[in-house]
Amino acid sequence: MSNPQQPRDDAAADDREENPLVDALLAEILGKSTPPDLSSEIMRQWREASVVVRASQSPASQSPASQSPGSLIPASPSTSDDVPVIGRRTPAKASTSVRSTDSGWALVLLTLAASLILGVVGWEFVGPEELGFRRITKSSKSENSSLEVAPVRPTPQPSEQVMPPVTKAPDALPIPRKPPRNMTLAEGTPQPRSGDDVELSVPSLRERAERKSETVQWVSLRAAQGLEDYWDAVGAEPSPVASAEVIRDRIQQRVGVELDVAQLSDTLASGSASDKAAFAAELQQSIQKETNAKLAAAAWLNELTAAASGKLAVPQRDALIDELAGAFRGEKAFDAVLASWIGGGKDSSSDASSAWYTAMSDAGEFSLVHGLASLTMNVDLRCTRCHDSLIDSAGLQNDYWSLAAMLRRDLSKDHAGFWSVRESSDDASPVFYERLDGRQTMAEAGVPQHWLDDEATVRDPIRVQDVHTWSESLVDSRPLARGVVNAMWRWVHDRPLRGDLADARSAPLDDSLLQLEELLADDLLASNFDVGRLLAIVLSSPATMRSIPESLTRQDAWAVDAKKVSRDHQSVQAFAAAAPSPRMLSIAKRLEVTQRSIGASLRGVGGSDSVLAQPLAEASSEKPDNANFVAPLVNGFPDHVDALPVQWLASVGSLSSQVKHLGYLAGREGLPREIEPIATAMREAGVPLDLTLHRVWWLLQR
Amino acid sequence: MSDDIPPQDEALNSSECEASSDAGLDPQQLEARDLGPAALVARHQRGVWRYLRVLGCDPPTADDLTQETFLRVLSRDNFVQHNDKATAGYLRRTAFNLMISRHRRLGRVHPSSDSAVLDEVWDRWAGKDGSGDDAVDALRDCLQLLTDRARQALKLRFADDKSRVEIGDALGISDHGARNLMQRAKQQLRDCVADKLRTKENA
Repeated sequence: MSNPQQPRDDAAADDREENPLVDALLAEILGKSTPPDLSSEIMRQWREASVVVRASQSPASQSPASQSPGSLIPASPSTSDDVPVIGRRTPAKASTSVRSTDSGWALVLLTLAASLILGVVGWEFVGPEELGFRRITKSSKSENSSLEVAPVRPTPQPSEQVMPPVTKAPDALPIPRKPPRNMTLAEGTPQPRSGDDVELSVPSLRERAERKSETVQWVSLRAAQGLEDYWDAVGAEPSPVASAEVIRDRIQQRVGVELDVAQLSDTLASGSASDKAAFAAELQQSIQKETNAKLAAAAWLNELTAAASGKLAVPQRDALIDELAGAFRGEKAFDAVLASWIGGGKDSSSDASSAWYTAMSDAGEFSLVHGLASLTMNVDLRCTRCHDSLIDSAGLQNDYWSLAAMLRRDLSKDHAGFWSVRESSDDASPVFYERLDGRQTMAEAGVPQHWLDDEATVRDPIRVQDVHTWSESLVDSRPLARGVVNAMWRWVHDRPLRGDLADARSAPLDDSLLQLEELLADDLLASNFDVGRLLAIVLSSPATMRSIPESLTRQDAWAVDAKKVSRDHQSVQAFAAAAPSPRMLSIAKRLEVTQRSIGASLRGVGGSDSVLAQPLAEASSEKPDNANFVAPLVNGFPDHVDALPVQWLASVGSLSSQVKHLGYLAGREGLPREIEPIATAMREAGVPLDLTLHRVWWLLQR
Repeated sequence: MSDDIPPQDEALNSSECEASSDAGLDPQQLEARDLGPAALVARHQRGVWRYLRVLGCDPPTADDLTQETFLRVLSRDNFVQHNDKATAGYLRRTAFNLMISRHRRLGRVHPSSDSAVLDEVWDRWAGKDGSGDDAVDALRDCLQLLTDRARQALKLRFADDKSRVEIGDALGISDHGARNLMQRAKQQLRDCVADKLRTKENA
């Protein structure tokens, strides 16, 4: 592709000096260097800017490598003991960032002003972002006054040496696409309606079949480079590459798929980027095998349903696994499968739909609402059940209850436990929820438009008002693609790629992380929701290959510099190092370990060290014959911390409330009854508050 | 060139758009006022991108700076859309300053022609909507008027990225001959495009 200002010889440079306009347009006409459509990328970044702004306003973002990712500026004491209050924007900014010519915004602004006068806490965070005019501030780390949000090239080339050149089409999406495999919609998948007043952009099957996706090697390579860029950006130091055996075991434990160690060793030993990219293709082929696809489907279903799929009757579980395995094999589009499950399905698919709702609702309504929203629209509702999100102000309590009301109204469960989606629910009772100030508010059943549409603003009226329409809107949906990307990343790496700002374990937020998320979402859309392909790309990422830093193993606990431990923790948070293997410890075992750490229990889970506060077995790396060996079981038990799990906990009034909020963060509707007493016991035993809360967080992990 | 560069924030702090007058606007321009953010981007992104290419940015840099330009302008509290022309000018100025800032950061010397002249010429070529689509269409037509050899030389240069020597070899002429051939061809194209745009404007 010709570049008018990068001449290949002096004469050409002379030419261009005289005719830069002609040169530029000739390059466009003859060199096919046409203007790309950057609209979606610009609009996405404009929206994301508000998130980055909040991060940049927090101490954590000023030094990503030094503080917890969810750190935010504590502000004045909350009016409610249970509600964390974070640094807030001043009302004046809301008025300055709204264009005076827009009367609609002015009306909203008046509402804002009125609510501020009334001093309603939950409204204090409603600012220009919600009105569609998000502020972009200067980055503390950027040069000059350039924006915090770095632009993304639509078709960056990761390596000139190994990848073929890409020619951009005039209206090309960020990833060039090739014809995908033939795919069919799952049986019973609702077809897109026409003529509805719901403005949903659902492509036809023909349009989807004409799509082109890039090779899995190409995307894998770009994803790897994106992750390494992210590590550079946040200052995370990647740990050494783990051995092939360790990686194989890790993948098998997480995903259920067993890899060939020899092949893995060859890939790890090769310094060639193309070899590593080829590994992704081999992984995809492996996942597509019948047995592996079923194993992966069973494991992912278990993850998506928080292990509730294991409680299903075998035929029910098999119905779900069979359809999901088809998506891993590339025979079905996952979005269509999921839409079928959510929409109620037809005939035989209705069994799978019932099984899906049975598993998703196993832990209660909150689990159902939160789980569905997270997967299908990539929104985090952990805070908004009780109050508007005070950290990411996009989350409104009303939004949560709108979705909950729609599900309550449209889903029914008969006496036999069979779930179905009602065709008509006009006689449903209204759903009320309680605001922080005690007011009862009726929720309008439906899905907030801004969860479904990149272009929508927070204040758009609800246009999807029933489960059937909602399920249809998920087909080929970008929010669904993002949700699937994060769900799959969480499955493999224990945390979503882009976590919520409020989350204790979220990776530090940076533009490069958002770009990586978009890259994977784009590819998922381009491949017609081929989740097997996505899994191969995620598994082949450099994050999967990392070893656990030595400082984080119990063997070195007393010999390692605390700063080194802190740095390694930060690497773990940024996916640049593996975390100590999460053992499947029961809550009882974890409570026992915690009690022992403060001498509250003399009944150890081990043997010889059972009368000691600290387990002796940590000092040995040899695994004894005793099946109750202690050391590996307590991997990850916090003993060195230098900050709260999330900084906003500092603004929550009491220990009890802080513990409850950690429970909400862990996705639990309620706390196990032993948690609060053990937290109190730790404090009474002199354990610092930050360490106490870290240990509570460890206890609450599923 | 660098002496002509205004401080980066000059355009950002100026009120070029606000100073514009509504006088003389045609209905289409009036309708273009107060575009929403998405519509604003859709309407002006091609013009900004092409302008950056004219200024000498390679395509990836033009991609980056186009995005940065819109993000910068959308974040402005006091940005007012008076008309397409004013908005396009404001966007171009912002893009230009961001490009200069980028060059300074990277320690590069900007080799382009005088920016004021370029801006003026581009403003004419960009057309009423500021996209430059008319100029591209005109240039495509004008290319057909060239001789086969001239068209071949330009194709080798812009489509195949050949050097002057390689072009000369392909056409059986010296490298100087290739240079002169392309210079003449481009001058003809420039005149032809200018004529076509003038004709269209007067029609």
